[in-house]
Amino acid sequence: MTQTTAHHDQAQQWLKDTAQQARASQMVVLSVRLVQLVAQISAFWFLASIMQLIVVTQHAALFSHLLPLIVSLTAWGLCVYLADFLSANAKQTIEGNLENSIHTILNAQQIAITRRFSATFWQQLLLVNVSDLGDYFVQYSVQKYLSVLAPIVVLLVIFPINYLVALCLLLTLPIVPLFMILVGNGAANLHRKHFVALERLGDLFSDRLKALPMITANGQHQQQAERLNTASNIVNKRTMKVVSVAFLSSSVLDFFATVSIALIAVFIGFTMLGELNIGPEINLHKGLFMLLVAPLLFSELRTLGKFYHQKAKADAGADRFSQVLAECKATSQRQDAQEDNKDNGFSGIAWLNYKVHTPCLHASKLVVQKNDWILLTGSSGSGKTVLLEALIGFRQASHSLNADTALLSQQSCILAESLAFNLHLGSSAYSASQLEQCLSEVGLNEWLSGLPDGLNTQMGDLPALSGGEAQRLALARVLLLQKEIILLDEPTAHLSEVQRQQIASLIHEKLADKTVIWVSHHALPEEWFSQHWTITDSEIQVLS
Amino acid sequence: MKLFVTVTLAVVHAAAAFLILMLASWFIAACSIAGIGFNYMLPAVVIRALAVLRIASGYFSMLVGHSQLLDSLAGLRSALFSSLDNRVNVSRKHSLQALDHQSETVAAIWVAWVAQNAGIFTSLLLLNIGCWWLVPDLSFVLSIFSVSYLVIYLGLLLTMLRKARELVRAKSDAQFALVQHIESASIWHLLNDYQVFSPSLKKLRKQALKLQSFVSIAGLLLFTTSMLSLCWILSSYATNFTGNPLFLIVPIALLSVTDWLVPSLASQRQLVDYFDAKAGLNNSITQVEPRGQLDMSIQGIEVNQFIPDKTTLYPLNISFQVNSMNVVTGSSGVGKSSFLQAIAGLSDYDGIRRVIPRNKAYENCTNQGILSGALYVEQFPYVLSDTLRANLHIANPLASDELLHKVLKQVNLDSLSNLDMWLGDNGRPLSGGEKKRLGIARAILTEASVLLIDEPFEALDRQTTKRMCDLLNQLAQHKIVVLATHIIPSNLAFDQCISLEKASDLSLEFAKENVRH
Repeated sequence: MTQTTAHHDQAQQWLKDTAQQARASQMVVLSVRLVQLVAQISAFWFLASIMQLIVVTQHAALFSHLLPLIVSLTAWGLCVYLADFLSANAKQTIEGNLENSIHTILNAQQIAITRRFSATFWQQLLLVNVSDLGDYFVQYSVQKYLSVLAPIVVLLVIFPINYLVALCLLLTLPIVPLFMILVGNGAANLHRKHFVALERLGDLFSDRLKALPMITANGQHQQQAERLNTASNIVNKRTMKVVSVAFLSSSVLDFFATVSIALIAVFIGFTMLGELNIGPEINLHKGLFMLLVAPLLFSELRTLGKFYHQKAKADAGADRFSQVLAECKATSQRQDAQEDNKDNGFSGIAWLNYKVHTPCLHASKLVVQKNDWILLTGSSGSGKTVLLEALIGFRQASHSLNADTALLSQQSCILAESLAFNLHLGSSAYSASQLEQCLSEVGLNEWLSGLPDGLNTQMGDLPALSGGEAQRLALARVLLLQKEIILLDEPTAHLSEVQRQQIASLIHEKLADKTVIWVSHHALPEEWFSQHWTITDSEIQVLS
Repeated sequence: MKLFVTVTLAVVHAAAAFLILMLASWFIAACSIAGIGFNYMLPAVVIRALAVLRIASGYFSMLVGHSQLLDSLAGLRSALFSSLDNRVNVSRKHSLQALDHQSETVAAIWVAWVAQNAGIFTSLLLLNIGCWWLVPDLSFVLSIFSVSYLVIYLGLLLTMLRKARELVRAKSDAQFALVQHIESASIWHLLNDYQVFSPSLKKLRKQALKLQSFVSIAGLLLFTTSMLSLCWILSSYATNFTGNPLFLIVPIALLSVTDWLVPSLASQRQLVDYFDAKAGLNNSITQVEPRGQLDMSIQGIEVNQFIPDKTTLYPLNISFQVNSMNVVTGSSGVGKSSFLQAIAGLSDYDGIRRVIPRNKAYENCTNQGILSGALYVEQFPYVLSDTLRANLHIANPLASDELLHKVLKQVNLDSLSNLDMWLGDNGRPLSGGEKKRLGIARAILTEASVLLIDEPFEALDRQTTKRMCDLLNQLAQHKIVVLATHIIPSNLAFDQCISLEKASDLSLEFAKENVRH
């Protein structure tokens, strides 16, 4: 429980820090909205005065009377549009920045961070959460200020005209939040009471959709359909209990907004008739003006209520962002390190007291010479993959390899691009014959000749490659890009026995003149390797 | 019924708000010039009555509306789920996930759009009738304004419908591109420039911004129209109405247009979303033909020239005999899962699958469809968000609690002793190994005579693997068991081993070997 609270605090802190960056654009939008409010109030004032002229003074409206009204109406309309425009642009900027910050993290830590979460998580983060946060920063946050400032402006305007009306409105103001808090608490209590049922049964439909193949395979469709119906009956009954109280909250606002108009209208009317003799005198101009302005007291607060779901969505987004940030507390310097040393070539390393920070790994001495072949073993979960990721620079460690390094993992990645692109990955430095050459080195020349468009064949259109073929393609890619150090993370893990032997021999043959660190669960011939490292209890030991 | 009440209440709510403002302004104006004998009590009472009516109708329209939303959502989902019976296609998981959201959008249309717009149109109608009745001189301007509103409204709707469809398409493209990008993380370090390679959502955001700007522009247009009408009335008609408090009604209505008419423009988005969701729902049901069901107990299965859909397997000719253990091997990605799914009838295949029934009476029946006498256990057995009991009953709804306890013990899951324990999303999560064993427990419980089990030994330690092998060996005594696995434990007693490696990978391997223990 304390862990979730700490996590929640972190997310809130992140939300606050990020809000700082949006502060400037929020203030611009807020000031335009305030100008809009002032223009609106003055339009009300001028219209009321014209009505006084026509109805009471019984005089036609001249252009000189209309002009101030037209000016303030124009200002009002333009401000509405301008505020929309500015906040939409601010949203774009904020979302762009958030997107970039995610890509910066991804680029720095690559698979070390992506594999901590599912692909759907990242997709949701970039597509949904970023946009939710944008809405929150430009709409909800601005509206929050506005809903406090608007009543102050309205009261300041009404007070000099009729202190009695202003006083009445002032008295109702604190009652509104008080009621809303009371009702809100009531609804929250009810929700807590039904929480478990709502949480568990509420998502049953999407759960059973995911399980559809399993349900069909078991022939249980009918039974599960009945289960869904019972569950939605329960959920609906309980939800109605909760919302019957929750909706009171917006009715409180409605109540005060409506009653204030009704009472002010009656009060003003009776004062003008002489039935009531309290407070300053009122004429149609002042009376109509107050009637028009009074609803503004609550209207911004009501808009805030409409945006309320943005707060919840932003919290969910902040939660995900802080999850990611918690995973990558420190970024690495991979980029700079690589730039420094690219041309010099790899000449070997000798590190004393090597350390990886999270999770902890340590070695008193690590030596890698050019063309070394190193076997890396250890029980599952001991940190072999972590070590490889730290060596290449995706994780913070005391040292990282300053050389052109490639990491080959269990599942080789095939992009839905052309075969040629899959090999050169967008670099134009390679000729077609070079590409063909490296394919034939890994034994894919026959496969290539069977493809409809040769090197230009779109890989997305082909049926999936078998595990062995995919690993061959990945190997061809590494050979083509001429990396100096190759880190192999169980490249044969998902292959059958025969395939495994074939691919292992191929790797041995083709990478003989490179520096290789090979993680393997399966036995490999001893004579291939010049060193053997093993990880036990977070300690990297050199065996031979 | 609820639908009618919802819309009526929403109309009353909107109309009451509108009427209060009109009546109140007229009342003030009337009071300001009233002579003796003006009956002021009646309007004052009506104003207060309207206020009460508005508050009450507001609350109840929300309440009934929500109840109606939940009812129609439940009905819609129930119908959807029933119509998906036997329409399973494992490659379609993604579009099924969308149903959850789409059904919400479709069910919400009444509350989010119909009720709101009905209120707005009623107010507009009332205003026009009132104007024609009380101040006929102004009805010309007002009707011009009403017509321009309708033009703006429809124009926006048509533009949105067209643009929103593009946005939906762009969004699903972006979704796909992002997932692909993340899945290619293992080769990012080989790239020259990460920035160039990573998909940017800037274009998508621009498109969304454009859609939003249509609403803003339409709002500005509507505002301008109404303010022009207002100025027109004030400048040209004021002389006819000097001293008439009824004159106030139309100008006040036009002035407060941002409160009652402009919101109708923003709600167009809901209608557009509704159309897309509706189309999506229809698609996901009609996309896939329903599969038939083969309901019989099975003596054996033969396949001839058999190729599961979307694999590059060479045509297979295999027969599975009753009381046998069959192992299908091959590297991951070669199509072992597709093979099992195709045999179970859960996905498509080329070639012939012939089921030999136990009962001769079924001999000549059609051979297409899902085998209800076969159980396919997934590579990562799905844990329902439900109780442990329900998760086991899915394989056999009639199993007693004692039997369930016994089976849990057999598969080493007796740490889960409480059958009412909630598993899945909002309950106790299961580890990879526990899921595998849950799958085996289902295989033991089921009455199906064919068991197709996908990778049962991954993520299990040696001892558990041995135990699972013993259980599967037992099952093979009276059932047809087919295992797809790239690990063959030493104590697994199998009658037949089929390798699915492709011909090009087979230089050292036999296409098919028969091993009898």
